[in-house]
Amino acid sequence: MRKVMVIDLRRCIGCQACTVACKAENATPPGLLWTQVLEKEEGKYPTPRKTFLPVLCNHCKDPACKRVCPTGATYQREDGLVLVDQDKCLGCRACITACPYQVRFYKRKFGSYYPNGLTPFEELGYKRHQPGVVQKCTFCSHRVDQGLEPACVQTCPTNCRFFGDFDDPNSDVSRLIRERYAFQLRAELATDPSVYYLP
Amino acid sequence: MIEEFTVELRTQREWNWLIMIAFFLGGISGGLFLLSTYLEFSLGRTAALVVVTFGTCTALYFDLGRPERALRLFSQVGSSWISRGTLLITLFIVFGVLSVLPSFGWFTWLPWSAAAGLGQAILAIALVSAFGVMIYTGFVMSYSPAIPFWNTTLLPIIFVFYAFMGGAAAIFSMIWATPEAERISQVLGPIEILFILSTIVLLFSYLATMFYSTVAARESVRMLIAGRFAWPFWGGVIIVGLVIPLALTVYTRFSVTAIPATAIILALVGVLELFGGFVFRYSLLRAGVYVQLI
Repeated sequence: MRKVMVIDLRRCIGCQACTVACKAENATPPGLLWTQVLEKEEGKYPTPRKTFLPVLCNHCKDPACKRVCPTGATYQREDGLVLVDQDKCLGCRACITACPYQVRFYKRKFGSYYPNGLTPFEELGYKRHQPGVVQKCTFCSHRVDQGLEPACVQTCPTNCRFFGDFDDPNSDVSRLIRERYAFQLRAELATDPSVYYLP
Repeated sequence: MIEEFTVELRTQREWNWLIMIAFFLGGISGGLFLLSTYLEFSLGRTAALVVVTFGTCTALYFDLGRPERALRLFSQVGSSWISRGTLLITLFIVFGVLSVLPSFGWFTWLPWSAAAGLGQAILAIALVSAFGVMIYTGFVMSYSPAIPFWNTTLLPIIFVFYAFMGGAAAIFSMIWATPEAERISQVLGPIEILFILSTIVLLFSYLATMFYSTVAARESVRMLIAGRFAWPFWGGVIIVGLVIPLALTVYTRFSVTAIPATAIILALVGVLELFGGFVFRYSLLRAGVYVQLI
């Protein structure tokens, strides 16, 4: 089994609902954006337009981050998810410089989103994150383990994200990858990302 | 739609001053130990061990987000160059200290001496690990596919030459007031010229190779030769760190200057080279541009 995500770029409207859903689900502190939608203006007046690119950890099959990790904190599950064991990570950031997708984050201290200190939600949620270690998208492994989809997939109002088993030829993700000429970011680096994009 | 999408080039910000200092001092200590052993300059060997222990290790330790877990650094020697580097530094310190101890009067009771079999074996391990400390930082950086400017095996080779230059520079900086100044200057002078010339050739080959590789690597080279790091690169790395030391070393070699003056000029060469060596690490780390997402 290999869990992959497929993102249909024609459906993405850049609403950042996935970004907010990830924040709500994982209670990540400021500065940690496990997923976000990059945007860029293109064209000229009178026909300019915005283009969007949702990004997150690619959970590569051959992850560069895992290779350089000196403690084994970055590890790979049998279903392909690449995770960080926060108790093992010592914050050397080698994985951040090795990751071609720039989707790993590091904070020595966590701040609050609000000026009057941590909210009860933040106080509770931040207990799941250690300062001084590297953080990244988990594909919502805690939800996947319960048979659920990652929060960003469930929330997307345009259904542009799909999640499933790459090894099952009848799954939606396999079919989309096969039929819609899906591509991976920086495929030439041979990390074999598990996030596919539909053009 | 997506074919038109590009993400702007961004430099890495994770590895900063402490890593620069660690890489710089690590290179110097390895080069200093190897050259001092070759030149039988015991002060240099002791200084190398002091530098790696109190300089490199301290900088690396405090750069960690969770330094209290530092012992875990040894756990992935099979795959991670940071783990391998940690092991090499440890071996270098342990066996380096064991090889140096018999030269101190208080440790004559030790069951090995520098000339005996066991002492030679200890020294051999210390030398190999010192060389490892010189080269591993280049591998740490070159194993980063995200930063094409670093992602080349030329980098470890350049790091070795910079380490040798740093070692020679440190020796020049130390010997000027010692009675060994003349003997060491005579031997190390020509070697130094060779080191500098080789480094110049390697450095420009590296930049030329990178300039014609990928967009991100080309941007790194542009930053160094004509961008925001042009001053440190041309002024610090090339002129102060390579050209002036080369000219001064050649001058001392072919002039009729007496030894006190020669030693003082070489001490100046050493200081300039050390400065250039640090700015080299600074420039290289600062100009690390991430590959574009698309």
